[in-house]
Amino acid sequence: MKDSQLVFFLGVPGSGWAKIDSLMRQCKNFKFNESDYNENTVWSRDTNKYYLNHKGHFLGPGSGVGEGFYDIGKNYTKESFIEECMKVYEDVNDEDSYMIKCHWFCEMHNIKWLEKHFPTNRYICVVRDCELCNVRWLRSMTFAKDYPKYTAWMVKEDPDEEFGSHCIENENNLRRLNKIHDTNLRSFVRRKADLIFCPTRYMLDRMGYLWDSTGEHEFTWYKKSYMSDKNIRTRAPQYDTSVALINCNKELGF
Amino acid sequence: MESFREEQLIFYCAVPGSGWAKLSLLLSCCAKLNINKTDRRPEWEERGRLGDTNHVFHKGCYWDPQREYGGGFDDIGKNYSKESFIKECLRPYLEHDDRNYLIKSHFFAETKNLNWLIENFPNNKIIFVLREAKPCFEGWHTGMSFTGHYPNYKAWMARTDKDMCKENYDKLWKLIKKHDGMIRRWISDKNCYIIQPNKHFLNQLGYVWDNEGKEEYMKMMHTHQFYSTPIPMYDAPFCFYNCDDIFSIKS
Repeated sequence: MKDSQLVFFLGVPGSGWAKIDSLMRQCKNFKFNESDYNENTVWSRDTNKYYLNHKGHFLGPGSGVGEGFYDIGKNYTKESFIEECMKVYEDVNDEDSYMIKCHWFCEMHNIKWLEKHFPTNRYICVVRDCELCNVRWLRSMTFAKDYPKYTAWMVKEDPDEEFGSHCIENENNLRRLNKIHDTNLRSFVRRKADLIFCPTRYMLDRMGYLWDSTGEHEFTWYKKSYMSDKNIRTRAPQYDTSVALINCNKELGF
Repeated sequence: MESFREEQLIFYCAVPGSGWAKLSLLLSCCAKLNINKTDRRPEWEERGRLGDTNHVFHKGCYWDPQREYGGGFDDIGKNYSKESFIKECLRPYLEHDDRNYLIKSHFFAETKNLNWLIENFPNNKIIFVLREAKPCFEGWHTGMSFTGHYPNYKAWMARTDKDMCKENYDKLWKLIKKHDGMIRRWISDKNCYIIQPNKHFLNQLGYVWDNEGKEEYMKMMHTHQFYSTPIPMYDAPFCFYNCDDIFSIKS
C-alpha cells in the first residue's frame, strides 16, 4: 500500500466526529475501506437527546491500538506508525483509502509530525464549539465503560460513573484537554484547510454520497443529532459542526 | 438599464448580529460575484456603537421595513409586483451595468418572502449567513442600537419612545429567533452549500487582494468577535443557494 492511502481524521471528544466519520465513509469519491467494522467495533446509545453510533476503530492511548499516539514522534518511526495504524484493518490493499481516527492527533507536536511526514495526505478535521463538545460528551459517554475507551482522559478511578455523571476531576481533565486540542486543531485548520463545510445533502452528493439504506440512516441521524429544537414544527438542523478538508479537492467533485 | 437581467439580483439574508454586514464586504471583493458598489454613500457608513476601531462595518444600502428602501419587504408578495420589487432593489444604485446587485434584507427570512423570491426569480442566487440566535443577539446588543446607528432597526422595536429598553430587546430577540428558524427550515430541503469563509475559499471566489480586499479581510479576522485570532470560531458560515456557477474548487 501507499502512504497516500492514509486519511487522517481529527476532532475532539463530543464534536460528533464519529457521526461525521460515518457520513464521510458513505462518500464514495473517497473509496474508504470499511474492514475495521466488526462486532467489537460497532456500538450505539440513544439517550433521547443524543444519538451515538460509533463504528470502526478509534486509535490512541487506552484504546488498545496506538497506545503511543500521545507523542507519535517520540514513540514511532514513520514505518512503525503506519504499521500501527493499519493493525485495525483486516483488508489491506493498494487501492482503498483508510480513515485513521485519533483524538490525540490534535496534540500540537503530533500535528507537526504528521505534516512533516505526510505533507500531501488527506486530512479531515471536525470543528465544533468546545463547550458544546464538552456538554455533549459528558452527558452521553463514560470514560471507561463504553466504546471506545476514554481512560487516557481520566486522572482518577471512578467505578460508579455513568453517562451524565462523572467525578469532577475527570470532567475537568476532559475540559482541559478538549480546550488544548480544540485550539491546536483550529490553528491547523486555519493554516491548511481548503474547504470548511457543514454537511448538507447537496454537499455530500458532490462527494459521491451513496443514498442506500445505510446512507439515508446516517444522514437522518446526523440531522437529528444537530437539531436546534425538538418541536416537529420548528426543528431545523443547527449546522454547528463544520468539516474541514485538506488535500481533498479531487474528492470534492467540483 | 435596458440590458438589465433579473439574475443580476443576488439576495442576501441573515438575522441581526450575525456578522452578515462584515461578511457582505468580503463578498463584494470576490471577482466571481462582480458586485456593484454604487449604493455606497458616506452617510450610509457605520462603525458601530463601540466605535473603538476605525473600521467601517456597514456600507451601502440595507433594505427593510421602516427604512428608506424596502419599506414593504415584510411581505413582498403583498406589497410589490415583480416589476416594482425590482425597481425598489435598484433604486439606491447610482450606476447600472453588467455588475450584480447584492440586495440585503433581514426580512427576506420570512418563509413567504423566500418562497416568493424563488417563485419569481428561480435562477437567482440567494446567500445566507447562518449563526446561532444567542450570539447574534449578544453581538447586535454590543454593537448597535435601534435608532442611533445606520441602518435603523425601527421594525424591531415594540415602542418608539425609547431606544434601548426591555420591550424592544424582547421583540428583537423574538424576531431573531423566528427568522433564524425560518431560514434554517427553508434551506433544510434545498440544494445548498454551507461553507465557512476561509482564505482558501475566498480565493476560489476570485477574492481581490488589493487595499480594499486586505482591509476587509483583516477587519474580519482581527476585530470580529467570532474570528478572534489565532483560533477562528467558524460559527457563521455562508449558505449558498443557486450559486453553482461560482464554485470551482481547485488546488
